[in-house]
Amino acid sequence: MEKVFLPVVGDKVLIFELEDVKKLRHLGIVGVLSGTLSAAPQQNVFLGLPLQLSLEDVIWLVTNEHGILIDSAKYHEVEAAMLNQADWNSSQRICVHDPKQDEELLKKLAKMNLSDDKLILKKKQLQENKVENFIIIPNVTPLPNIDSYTIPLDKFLSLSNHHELISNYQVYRSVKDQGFFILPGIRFGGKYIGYPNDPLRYHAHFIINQATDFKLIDLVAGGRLATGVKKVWVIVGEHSTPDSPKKVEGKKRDAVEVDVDQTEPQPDIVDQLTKESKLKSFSIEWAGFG
Amino acid sequence: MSDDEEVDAIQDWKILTQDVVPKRGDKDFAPDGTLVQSQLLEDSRNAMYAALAVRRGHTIKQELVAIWYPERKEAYVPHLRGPYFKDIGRPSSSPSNKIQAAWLNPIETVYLCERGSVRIFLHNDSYERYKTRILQNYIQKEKSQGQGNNFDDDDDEQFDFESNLVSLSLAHLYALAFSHDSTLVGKYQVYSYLKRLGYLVLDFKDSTTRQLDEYHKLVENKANESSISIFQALKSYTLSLFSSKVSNILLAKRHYFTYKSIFRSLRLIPSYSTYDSLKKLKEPTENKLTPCFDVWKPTPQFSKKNPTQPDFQIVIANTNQSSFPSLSQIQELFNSSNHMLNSNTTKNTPATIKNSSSGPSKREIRAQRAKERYSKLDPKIQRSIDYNKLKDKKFKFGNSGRCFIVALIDNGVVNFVNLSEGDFSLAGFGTDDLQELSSNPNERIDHGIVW
Repeated sequence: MEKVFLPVVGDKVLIFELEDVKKLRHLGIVGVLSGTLSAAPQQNVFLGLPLQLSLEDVIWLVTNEHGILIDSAKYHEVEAAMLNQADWNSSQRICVHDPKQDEELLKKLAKMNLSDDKLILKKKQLQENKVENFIIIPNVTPLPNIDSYTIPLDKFLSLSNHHELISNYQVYRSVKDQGFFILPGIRFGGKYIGYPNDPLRYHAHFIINQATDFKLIDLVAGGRLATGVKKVWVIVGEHSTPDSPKKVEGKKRDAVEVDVDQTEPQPDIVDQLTKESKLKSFSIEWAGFG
Repeated sequence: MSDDEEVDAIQDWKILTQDVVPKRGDKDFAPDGTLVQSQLLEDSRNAMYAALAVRRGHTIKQELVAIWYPERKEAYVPHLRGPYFKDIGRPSSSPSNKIQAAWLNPIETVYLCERGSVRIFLHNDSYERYKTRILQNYIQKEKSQGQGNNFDDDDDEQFDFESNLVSLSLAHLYALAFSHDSTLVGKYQVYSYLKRLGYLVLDFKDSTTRQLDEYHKLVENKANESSISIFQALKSYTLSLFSSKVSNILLAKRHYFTYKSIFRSLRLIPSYSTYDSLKKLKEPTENKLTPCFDVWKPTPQFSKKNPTQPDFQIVIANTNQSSFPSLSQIQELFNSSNHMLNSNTTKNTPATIKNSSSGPSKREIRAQRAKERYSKLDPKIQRSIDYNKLKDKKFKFGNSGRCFIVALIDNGVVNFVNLSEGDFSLAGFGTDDLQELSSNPNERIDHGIVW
């Protein structure tokens, strides 16, 4: 399969191509639809393109060579400047005939007590003329040379500051590589939500958290919450022997420390993300008796 | 799209996919490997893809254009039309009185474009030349016609957008509007979520100075009323603290005749009124939480020029990048809210969104019954019920009722949380209503002690 282009807007990856959404779905990447549906713009139940991918989705796609990051701003700026406007606009079918508009007009006319003959005549006219009555706003501008605006993964990761990126990603990967679909965890108060397959059709099974610094009270809280919403709480952590050195976190939280980091030889963040890790997971269920 | 159509939009959607739309909760537990199930999944996916493929746009009758100025990072709408501009856009001078023009910020531009309501073109010199030409024409006309205002706008030349300007796709617009600031996409997601529900949204207006003024005025008034200065009040307060806490406990000198006085002397943890953070207003803290939006419930009499007090105020936090805010951050937030110290009507509870389901719900029936029971009670008991209710409310939501809605974003998923301040001392301003309801309104009692 061809690689999916992952356009970077600000520090996020937003997919505007429907075909790419389909490809990603086959790879088990769902993402979050965040755009307004033009056909139903006043509700939040069903949303449309763009599709936002989580940071972990992006890392997984790029490190497994399913996707390439694209600098969307630069790509559009440079390539659009080289467009011949007249050619471009005439090649785009901006105004089209939309039969739905005709139908609605007919419905309105029908309410106005016109005679049947007149209605039929009008219908015929509309069908024959096919007036351009609808203006399209396209999702993407098909510009050439998209593959010359790629950004490397480490540069993309440096755009944003995320807590515990490396250890979180390892948790994500360990679950993802077992075939689960993963969505952001905020809906159920975890880091990730694990689905047995496409969330469109199946309920979530897991609320997933990283196992660091656990107190017993957290076990109760996490277990009760998950069981209360008919899920299992899964905690994943690195399997370390007592004397193994503490893992170095590649990403520091504040800018000052990052500056210091640059003088020291730091293991490459991408290497850290892709390196083998021994993870152990536990599933926890609340077992209150009655 | 007319208003009626927009109300029916959700119904339209089913017609438009002409298939079974996957409903919430209509899911299976796990894949069982059957063909039936995989067919169902395929159908659901296709229905979704079909809905996503529906073209974005509007009918020619509703045509609306805007020009994106890359340097300003704003879009210019030369001719406002349609129902969108109640809260969107800042008016701009237009050469003609008949036509209104406005500037849209990046978030507003993307919102209108994404819902298919406005087509955006990229600004270039040819448009600028056209604009100056129009302006000159207008000035000339005005000169030549003197006071007579009866000239036509129709003989203004019409600008041909399509042959002179590049039209923008949604992806192109996102790149232009959101690339320079990585917080904008998150803000936009919250904005569009609220707008889709019909709320009116404007940029947040900081009210710290106004709150501070009101606070000082209140302090002054209070001081005048009781004819003691604040200094004295403070002094007596510290003295009483000393005497009650230190000496009582350590030396056990005093005799107690009521439970209340014992509890009062046991109060070791300092508590303070929620307004006290205004007293020691400091320099802005590091990582200041900046609220983003003022939000109003939909109302026909809304004016973006002179808006009323907002119903909600929104602050945005990213779950992967920020931790829980510190106390000083939260205090700063509350001090900047739109809260009026003088007003008696405090909006203590977060407003709930009513479901438009038919008939009274179980909760409503229960509330109705409770109301009936209440009305049969002795007025004295009613009073004490009211008192306790109000007190509980103030413990929970704070004496002031200052609150913020925190929009939590996790990779594109938005959740809303209400953040309000509790008040356990109930000693500051705004406890007058509590005092009135108390068993003895004339005697100042300590509302913070409950037993």
